Amino acid sequence: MNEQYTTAAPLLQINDLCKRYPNMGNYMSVFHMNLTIPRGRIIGLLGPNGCGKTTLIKMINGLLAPTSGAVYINGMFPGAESKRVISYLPERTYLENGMKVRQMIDYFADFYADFSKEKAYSMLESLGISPEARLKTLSKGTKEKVQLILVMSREAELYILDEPIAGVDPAARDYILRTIITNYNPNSTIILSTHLISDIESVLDDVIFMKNGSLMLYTSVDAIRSQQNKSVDAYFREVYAC
Amino acid sequence: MLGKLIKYEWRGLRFPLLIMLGVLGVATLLTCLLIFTINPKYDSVASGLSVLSLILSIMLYYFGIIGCSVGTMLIIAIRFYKTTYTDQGYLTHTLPVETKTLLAAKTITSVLCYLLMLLGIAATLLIIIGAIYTHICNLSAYEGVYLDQQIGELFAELSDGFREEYGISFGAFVTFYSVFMVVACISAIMTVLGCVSLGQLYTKHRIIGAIIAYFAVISVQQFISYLAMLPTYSRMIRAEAMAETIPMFEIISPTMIISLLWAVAVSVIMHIINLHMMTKRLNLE
Repeated sequence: MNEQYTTAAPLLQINDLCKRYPNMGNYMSVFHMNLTIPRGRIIGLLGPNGCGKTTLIKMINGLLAPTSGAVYINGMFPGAESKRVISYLPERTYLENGMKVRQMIDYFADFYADFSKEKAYSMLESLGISPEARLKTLSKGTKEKVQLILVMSREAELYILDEPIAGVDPAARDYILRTIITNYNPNSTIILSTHLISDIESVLDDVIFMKNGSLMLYTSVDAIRSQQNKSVDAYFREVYAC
Repeated sequence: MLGKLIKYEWRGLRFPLLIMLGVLGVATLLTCLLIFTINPKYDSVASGLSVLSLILSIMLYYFGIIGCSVGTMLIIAIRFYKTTYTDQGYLTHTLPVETKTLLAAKTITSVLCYLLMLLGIAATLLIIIGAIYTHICNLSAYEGVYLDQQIGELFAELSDGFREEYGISFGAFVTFYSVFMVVACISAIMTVLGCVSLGQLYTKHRIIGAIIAYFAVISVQQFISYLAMLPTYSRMIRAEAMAETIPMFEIISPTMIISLLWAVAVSVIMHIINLHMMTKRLNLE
């Protein structure tokens, strides 16, 4: 693999990826993971707490250096070029509290060539959030909505959404899921990490089950339904039963 | 992208910097007011109060500039920590820019902020000297109208006698010292930013780790500074033993050059540490 963009390269390829935390008793958070993600899919990244989902997502985004193995996005290592094509929603609120919503929109428009201000303002209006509101005056849930609007207003190739609906009310969840589907283009892939499987099941094409840092299952939702005769939520409960 | 990054860094730093400059301005104003309460005639009744006012004003100004200087450094360190290693780091590190560009933007903006504060301190120092000069030293005229002329004369005297006394022209000394100050400022900022990054190695106590790293690095720097003074001491002892008159700059120049080179070396080392920590050792919680 070189660092040149090739359309032939898979959107995301993970080769024998490991992450060990020396400060946590050499705990292996991700263990020899191999994965190839194509374009045009909505994928649920599922697993119990501490199974390595967020660690994996951080490594894909270049926020964490792998202990061994490699991540390729469009055939490139995580870096400035890969960050141009990934739109990432972390589970944390990363907005600068002193800024106004409008200033955050300008910030994203300044740095991401694929960011659409019109789309962002339209979504803000739908959710009744004032662009002039200062972020420190907004509730945690509203900040999460703003963050999701910023991320989904990009025309990215890969969207990685870590717990996008965890902190919002059920009514807003429906809107957010609609937003994800409406803004999704067939050449993009969305990876959704969440515990609220029943809420997102209807929008998923594929699911990835992780256990103890390893890939346990990567299959389509249709395959689970036809082969197991169960919903993804029911199958998840069965697989991860304590 | 560098320009855009600097623009947003500056937006984040400008307001706290303005507050610091405001505090410096108020400290200077109060100091000037205290200076003007000093009785220039020093009669028996007021002389005690005058001395007390002078000491108070000098102390107030001294603590004002130390507070503003340290405060600015703290503001820079906190901003760097927050935007690089806390939740805001998720946004910073997912921007489509190289890490070296990110670091360059943060360093340039921080250095500019600190230089602005130093310029502010230099300006207030001139104001304080002006206040003392007009109010105390210029008793005979006791009017500001002669001040320009007298300052001109002072600089003329400095230019003429400076080379003879110090072995370097006044202009060259000011230039050398200005370069030295700018390099020292860059080095100080790089040290602070580098230590914030080093503190990330202590994953459970990152802030304490940064403070410990800072004191460790400063201790090493102090030791190196002490070593840098050795050529000056040796020249002074030799000159005294041989009853020679060596110009002052000739005595202190090796120390200043070693210090300058050391400051450059520290900046480079800290830059490398920062880059390493922001790429290979990045671990956002």
